[in-house]
Amino acid sequence: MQDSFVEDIVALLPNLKRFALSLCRRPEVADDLVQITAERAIRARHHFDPATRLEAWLFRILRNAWIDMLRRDATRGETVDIHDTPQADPVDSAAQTHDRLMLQSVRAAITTLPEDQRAVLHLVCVEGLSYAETAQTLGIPQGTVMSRLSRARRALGDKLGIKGGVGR
Amino acid sequence: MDIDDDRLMALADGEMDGDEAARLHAQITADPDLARRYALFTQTADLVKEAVLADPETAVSPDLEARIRQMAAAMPPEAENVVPLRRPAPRWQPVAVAASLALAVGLSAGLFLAPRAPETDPTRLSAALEEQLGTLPSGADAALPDGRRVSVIASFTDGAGAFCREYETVAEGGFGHVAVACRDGAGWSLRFAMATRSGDDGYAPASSLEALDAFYAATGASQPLSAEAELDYLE
Repeated sequence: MQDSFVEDIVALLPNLKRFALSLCRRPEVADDLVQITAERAIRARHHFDPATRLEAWLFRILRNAWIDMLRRDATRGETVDIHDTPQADPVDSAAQTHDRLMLQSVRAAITTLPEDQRAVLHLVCVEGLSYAETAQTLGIPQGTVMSRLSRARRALGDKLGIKGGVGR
Repeated sequence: MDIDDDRLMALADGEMDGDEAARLHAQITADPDLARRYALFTQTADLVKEAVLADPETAVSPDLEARIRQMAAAMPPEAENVVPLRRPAPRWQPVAVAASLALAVGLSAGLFLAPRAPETDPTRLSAALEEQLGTLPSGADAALPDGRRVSVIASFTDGAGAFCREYETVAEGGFGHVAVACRDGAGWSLRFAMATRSGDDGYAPASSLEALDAFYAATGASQPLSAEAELDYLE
């Protein structure tokens, strides 16, 4: 029997994986987080308000699962940043190489941001959540969403050489 | 006229529409400095999105999807059946419990309770433990008169808004409990307790806490309160 709620979650697995990676930066941990999130979501499906966006609800569950993991995993040692490990270069054209290197440098710049800024940046810029949805997902005021988002972008602009001028 | 970055960012992020957005767009077009500041927000948004979406690490493996489908298929499909922790009838529910989990006993709203009522109310805590739950900040621990140590893990509010705390007690030999208690009119009421055998580091492996995770999911627990928010509830 096809369960549409489960299918909806499966369709959002790439979004969950992306958000998980942006929080924990380790692929194997990200997979665990995605699985925990899917399990909790299915178990708690009656708590989901269909008037709201499923992804925002799932992101919130994932974020809580990440907090739980950090809280409990007292033995966790140094984290290995996935972007520290160079990947084998596929053969591609000079232009493709240029684009790829540029996007790699963007990803590297994102990983240097503090986690709270990364989460906000990811939810707004990658997943397209509104400020209000982001605030609710992370359990912080909307003003905090905006200040973190603005700081994250200023830091990225500095690292990537995008001149945004001196604002307020 | 000074236009602050928050408004430029809100425009770039689609948080502004109608006349206000149109007016701001016009001002940006007319002012190179403003255009440059605005470009920081549009360009970073585009780059971040493109970079993350192109990241090969974000691919979902067929294996992960298969595991999730399998897990979903193993759970009862009907909503009424997916809240085992709130159902009063059976004494035990097969929540996915790791092999390392010694014993899980839930005590919320009659959940998991033996059919026969016990002689004393098992949800009431000792006065000493209640005192610690009402005063210890999360992350702190204290000794109890019976020789156990209690450490408070986190605070949160439950679906009904009651102040709740997750805590661990450890006795000699590392045996102990992970438990959740919530404040009610009469003091503290035990909502969940699970026996654990702590490792050398004093923590049970995370894999053994799936029943607790399920409890949180089923009771609508809030995110952990910040240290500051928690203070409002402590004595």
